[in-house]
Amino acid sequence: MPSVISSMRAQLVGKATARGRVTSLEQFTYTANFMKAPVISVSKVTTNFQADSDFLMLYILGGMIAVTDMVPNVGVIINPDYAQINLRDTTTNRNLFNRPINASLVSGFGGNPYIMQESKLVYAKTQLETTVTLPFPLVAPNGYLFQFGFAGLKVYYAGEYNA
Amino acid sequence: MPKILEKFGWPQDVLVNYNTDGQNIDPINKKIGRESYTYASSMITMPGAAGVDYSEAFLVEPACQFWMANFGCFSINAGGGPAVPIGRITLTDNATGFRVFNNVSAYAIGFGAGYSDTNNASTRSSVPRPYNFRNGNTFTLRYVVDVNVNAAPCQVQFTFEGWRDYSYD
Repeated sequence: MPSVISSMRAQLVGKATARGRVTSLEQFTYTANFMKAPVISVSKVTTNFQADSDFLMLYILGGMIAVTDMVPNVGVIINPDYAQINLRDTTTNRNLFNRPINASLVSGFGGNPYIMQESKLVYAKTQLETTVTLPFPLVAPNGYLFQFGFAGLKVYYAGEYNA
Repeated sequence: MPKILEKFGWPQDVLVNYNTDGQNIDPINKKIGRESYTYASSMITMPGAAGVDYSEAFLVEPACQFWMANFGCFSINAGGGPAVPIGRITLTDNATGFRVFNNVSAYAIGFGAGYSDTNNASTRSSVPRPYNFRNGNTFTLRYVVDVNVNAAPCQVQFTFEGWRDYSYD
């Protein structure tokens, strides 16, 4: 991750863009937390992006834990593997995916952060909607906690944009 | 670091002028916005050893072009344990008839390429050069499994990872 920051800083700081001249970049991670949400088949969480900066999303992270056990899933629980997610940017009204995709493929449930093929610039004050779809009931009686992370760089601009 | 980001630098809605890798997608110097996008197939269900012959078409919206850079595979065995019905993939650009994949083993381009755990198999592989699906056209996935060697019901989903280019006046 530090190499991303240094590389992006070299490319972007001082660059004039349609959003203003870039003055600095900072690593940051937003999250979407689902508290017992998996007990129902579809649930949605909204992440509020801060007003002080745009956000350049680079990675999607994901993890889950059984509420009862409070231990990481180590492969003995099958059902969460069916979890599918979709993301929608409410500022541009664009989804990142054409339909829900299994979380293993696009969120890090597979063991590593999901590296997006291209970044996504999320404007300040955007609400990002994360939807989890579970086609089958889960086995844990108290459900699961799901957490998704959106890692990237906060982008600060000079001028009136951030005033 | 996302390799495409590394290659092209500042990517997307901050407006830039460029042609991409020699392909003149911006012939009159319109400005281009670029952002991540991924297509996924429906979850394909195989009811056991019989396999499947599955086709699905995907529309590239008129407002943008789609560049495919990665191909992802996910499979899960309904009874637990990994399920990797190998099968063959054909991916056709319906605008040109060009086959990005021509009856290629799904193991060669996805299932065999990386991670799997005890419950599922989820892997991806990169396309040697990103492929450009033009706006307003469709592309079609065909997935043929003659015999599901697991002989148990399983589900499979494929993804086409990449980005969209939008043009601005």
